[in-house]
Parts: sequence; structure tokens; C-alpha cells
Amino acid sequence: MSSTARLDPPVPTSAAPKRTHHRTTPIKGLADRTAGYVFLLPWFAGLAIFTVGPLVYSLYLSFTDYNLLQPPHWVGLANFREMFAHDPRFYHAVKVTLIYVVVVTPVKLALALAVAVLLNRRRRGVGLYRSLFYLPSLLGTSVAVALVWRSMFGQGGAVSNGLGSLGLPRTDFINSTTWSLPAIILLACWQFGAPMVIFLAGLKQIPSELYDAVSVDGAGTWGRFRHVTLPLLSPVLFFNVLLETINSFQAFTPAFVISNGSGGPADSTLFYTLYLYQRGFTDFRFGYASAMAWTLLATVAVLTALMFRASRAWVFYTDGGSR
Amino acid sequence: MRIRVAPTRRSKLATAVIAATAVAASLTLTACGGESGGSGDGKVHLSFSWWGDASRAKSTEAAIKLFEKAHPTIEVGTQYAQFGPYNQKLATQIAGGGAPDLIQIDWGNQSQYARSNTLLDLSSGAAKVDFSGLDPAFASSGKDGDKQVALPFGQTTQSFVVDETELKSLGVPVPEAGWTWDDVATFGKAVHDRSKGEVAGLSDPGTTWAAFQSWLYQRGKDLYTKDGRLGFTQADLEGFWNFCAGLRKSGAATPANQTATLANGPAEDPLAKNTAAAEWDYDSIYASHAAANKDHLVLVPLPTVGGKTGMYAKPSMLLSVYAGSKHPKEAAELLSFLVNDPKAAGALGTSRGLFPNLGVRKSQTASATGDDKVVSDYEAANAARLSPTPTAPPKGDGQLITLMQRIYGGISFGQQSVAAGAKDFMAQAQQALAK
Repeated sequence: MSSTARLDPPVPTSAAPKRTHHRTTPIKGLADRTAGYVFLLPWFAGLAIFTVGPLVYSLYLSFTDYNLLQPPHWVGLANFREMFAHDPRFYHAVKVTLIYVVVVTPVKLALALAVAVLLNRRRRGVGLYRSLFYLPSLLGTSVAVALVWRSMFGQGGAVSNGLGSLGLPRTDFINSTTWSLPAIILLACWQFGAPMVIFLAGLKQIPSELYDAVSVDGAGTWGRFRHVTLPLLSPVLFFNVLLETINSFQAFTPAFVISNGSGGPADSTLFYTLYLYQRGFTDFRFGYASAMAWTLLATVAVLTALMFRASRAWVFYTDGGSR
Repeated sequence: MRIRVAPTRRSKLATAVIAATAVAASLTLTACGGESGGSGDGKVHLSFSWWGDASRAKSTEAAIKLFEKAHPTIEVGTQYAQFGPYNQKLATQIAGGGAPDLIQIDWGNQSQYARSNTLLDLSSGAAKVDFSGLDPAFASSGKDGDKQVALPFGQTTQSFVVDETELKSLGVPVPEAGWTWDDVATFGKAVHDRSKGEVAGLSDPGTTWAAFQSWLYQRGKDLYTKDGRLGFTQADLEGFWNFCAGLRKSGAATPANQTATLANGPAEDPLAKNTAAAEWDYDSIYASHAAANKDHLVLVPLPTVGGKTGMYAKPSMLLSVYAGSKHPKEAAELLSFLVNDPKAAGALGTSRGLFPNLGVRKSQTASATGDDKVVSDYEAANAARLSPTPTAPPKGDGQLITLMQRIYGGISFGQQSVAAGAKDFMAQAQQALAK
């Protein structure tokens, strides 16, 4: 939860000034810093070789026709032109992904917040419940759970048979153009455990005297939530919204596994990342795939910047600082 | 105390710097260590990769063991995966210059690899293989131009896999050789009606690229021209799809959601789930279908047009020696063993179709049992009905297989008309072949 702390800086404790004073000696500070950087060296090397290097190379590839077998040729903006002007599947993939992002992010976060508020009370066995609700987010992105999902929601699966025994029509959710995307959305929403834990941590930090104060003022359950919980939780909420939006744009594994890599039936689960993968690894058009990857990166970067800008209007930091 | 703090810290810092540098250095060194595959035991280490399922892995490993026994100085390391991931991994390995010495390749990818000079010539040079025991016309399916870049690792033929048990219980006769597409429609409708709509006569063949090839071949046309362009017109494709759509609408063929499961393979398709009584497939897949079904399955030749089945001897898969191999001679020896040696034939069975060497195939057919016998008998009975083997498909063929699934899938789910779908297909197919 260190990432939460980054958005919500901790209030300095009384013990801190002494240590700060001790560290300001210039030479010692320099020595400490050098040691730190030296220890970071292996990580920097890894970052340069395995992350920054490939990243820059992929930017170069996005302007080429690289097909994995022959050396890349410079084609300028041809990949981007084809993508925006001549590729209906690209727009279809964008549409599928946007539907997913717009549905999954709010539903998942609403579930996470609701369960976090419920689990914030002192009850017997609350620890067990927290673990149980958290469990799906540990399992959810795995291939195994996607496979289970496929057989549960597929033809003759548990869900279909369950509906049948209730007298409802038996439905093959996986091989249906109407239901395949909702089935994947449901799988994503089921994994609300990670944002839930972050919400719980945020809820714990809200001082209880504030609740007592509004209660005295006559606020009910909703009033306490509306006027204390929500404003004080807004930095955590913002953090979760940001993270979940970015994650949703990158959704890949469940769609890949459930549709067997095809994005089917009939492209109904063709996520952006899945189409990117197909362009690269089944069509061997790595130039085009790289162009798609950079377009996604740029889109998410712009969106993140806009969300930070918008957050000024509604995120409330207790220490008075604004970002 | 305070005075001693500084020197201690400094020495600590020095130790830290040394430790960190050592760690960094050792990491780099280990990374380099992976490069050398040197062997201290004086043996030649070959690598061999293929695609397939567990049953094929078992028979292949058995064949490799026999090869190692006969060649004590060679050790073969193997790797296998499913078809889709296998091709992705192979392409990446070839791009990185680290592909296995002996590679199983798909006919649809052959041109692509051959044109980028990643496969050695097997008719002369370091990787020369004796393939005089193979049917010359069939062996030439591994040719790219004048170069023999691959050799077939099994012969397969198109067929309908038919659920005999299901048909018996419904009282519908098993179709016979020489049936027509009209008979297919009648057969499918009969199964649908007798089962009260529970079972379709056949899995809708509209998503199957190879089924369309047979359809064209029966009419004297082909998927590709000699120079690798589309060999059919939009009207041809509309004809095929309209026929399939008719089957689907009458209940003779499976509905869209069941047809979509065809891509998941024999274990999950309509034939295995008993929602269809017949399915278009190659006879080399028979064993996998039989393993996924409790019912007894038989093989029936394709329907005919003017007496022509459009069936042909197809290489189910091929073997090539990688151009970057350090041991091309030994890799060629292993290749020769796998396509010529009776011991290999005994271990492999019909897991890749009929054995390539004709002499060995004859004796293998005579002693076949079980699934192997069904396939061998089917091939023997239909040898006279085969059309000549076309040349290897051009680069981009693999994309058209998925394009067919996607567009006909959209048509059968009601998203598009046949005419609009066929138009889209032509445009996208031409684009894929041009790249």
C-alpha cells in the first residue's frame, strides 16, 4: 500500500525531526546517496536492458514493416495511416475495450467500496471474510481461473445447467456474441479484492471523532458516508479509479484464454491488447503491433493526465496540500 | 562513540560498493553463461521441436529413443506445444537465431520460412537426405521453387468423420462414397428431424478454409493461383457460404455458437459434445476424435461433384533442417530416420497420418490395428479417388484460416449477409497475401 502513501503523504511524526537533523551533514548524506545508487545499479542495468531498450526499439519498429523473419524496413507513418484510415477491426477493438473499461471500472470499484465499508466493522471472523473477498483478485488473472470460467459459462457448463434447472433457457455464454463480453466483464468485477483492501486501509485512517461529530449534528448512515467517508476517502478513491482504468485498458489474459486467442466468437471479445497480440504473433506484423502499442500508451498517458487535472476539483487532502 | 561512527560508516560503504559490484558482475556473467551449449561428453546434441498433443508426444518420444539407440553418439532434446503457440514460439526462435536443429513445420508456413532462407536444402549439401523411398509427387510438396526445403512427415487426406453409433440409434444410414452435396443436405435434415432437433447432421463447414478448398477442387478451381494470389472469385465463396447457410437454417448443420467451438479442437467440438453426427476433418485427426468420443466413429469420403471428391494427399506436417544448425548432417540423419525407418514407423503409428516411405507404409498398413487400421483402410480404399496434390500454399495462408472463421462466424451470428461477408473476405484476404 506504499502507492497509497505516495498520493496521501503521512503527517510527520514527533520522532522525525531528530533523525532529520542527524542526516543533514553534507558528506554523510553524499555517502549514503552513493551507496544507495550503487545498490540500485543492478536494477538500473536490468531496467535499461529489459525495459527501456525494448521500449525504444518498439518505437522504432512502429515505423517499420518488421515481420520477425526479415530485417525491418522504414515505412514512415504507413502503419498508423493503415490503423486509423483502413482498419475496421482496429476501431472494433477500440469499441470493445471502451465498453469494458466503462463498465468494469465503476462496477468493480462500487463493489469494492461497498464490501470495504461492510468489513470495516469490528465483528467476529472479519479477518476471514477479508481474506475470502481478497482471494479472487489473487486467482482472477490466472490462466486457470479463466479456463474454469470458460467451462462454467460454456455449453453444458454449471451456469447453463443451473439456469436450466430453474426453468430458464440454457445458455452458452462463451460462444455467444451477446454474452461472451458480459461473461468476461463479470470475471473482472469478481476480482474487486485488491481495490477493496486499499479502500479498507483508507477507511481505517478516518478519525472516528469526525463520525461522532456528524452524528451529534444529526446525520444518519447515509449522511455520515456522504459527508465524512467520501471526502476523506477521496485520495484513495482517486488512486483506485486511476489504477483500475489503466488496468482495464490493458486487460488481456481472460479474453485470450476464454476465446482461445481468437477474440471470438465473431470478434465479440476482441480487446485492443488481444488484437495487438494477433497482429504481432499470428500475422507476424510486429511493426503494426508496435504502432498499436504506442497508440495505446499515448492514449492512456493523456487520459491519466486529464484525470489528474480533473482530480483537483474533487479530491480532498487532509494535510492541506493539493496536487 | 561518535568519533568512531565515521570510519565505520566509510568501511561499511566500501564493503557495500564491493558487494554490489560483485553482485552486478556475477549477474552479468551468469547471463553470458547461458550462451555456450558446449558438451563435455563428446556427444552431438540435437534439438527437435514439433506440435501436437500428449498422445503424439508419447509416440514421438518413443521414436526418438529408438534413434538414439541406433546412434549412440547423438543425443536429441525435444520440445513440443500446441499448434498455435508452437508457431508463435518458432517464429520468435527463428528471429532470434536460436531455432531447433530439426523443425516440424506446417505446410501453410513453408513458403514464408523458405523465402527468408531459414531452411536448408535437403536434396544436396550438408543436410542431404535420401528420400527416394517417398512418392516423388508427394515429396515435392516440400519444395519451394527448386529447393527441397522440407519433407512430408505424414500423409493425410480430407474426410468426414461420422458418428456411427449415433446414426444407428437414430436409424439414419451412414453416408456412402460417391454421395453428393444434395445428399449432405438430406442426410443432415434426417438427423435433425429424427433427433427432434437435438443433433445436427454435421458441424457447419462454413468456417473451415480447407473444406472450401475441397469444394473448389471438385469444381476444377483452387484456393491459390501458381503465383500465390487468390484462385477463386467472390461468387465462388458466396456459393459455398450460401450452401452452408442453407444447411444451418434447416437444422442440417450446427448453429453459430456450436460451430464456433470447432476452433477449440476435437476434445470440445460438436462431434465430441454429441450435438453433431459428422464433421469435416483430415483423417490424421481421427485418433484425436476417437479419443474424445465414446461413440464409434467411421471415416467417409467427401461428397462429390461430377464424381470428383476434390480430396488429395496432403502433407499433414513437414520436417525441415534449420539453416542455423551447427549439426546439419546429424539433423538430416534424424530426419531420414523419421521418414524412412521401419522402427520409426512402428513407434509413430498414424499419429501424423500415413508413414512417408512407401515400402514401410505397405508393411505398416498390413499389420495395423485399432485407430491406425481405420485410417490406413480409409486411405487404401480412397487412393483412387485422389486429385493431384497442389503446390504449397503461399505466405499468408495461415491468416486466411482465421479470417474464414471470423467472417463466416459473423455471418452465422447474423451480423452480416453472405454477400457483404464475401466482399470483406476478398478485400482482407488480398491484403493479407500482399504483405
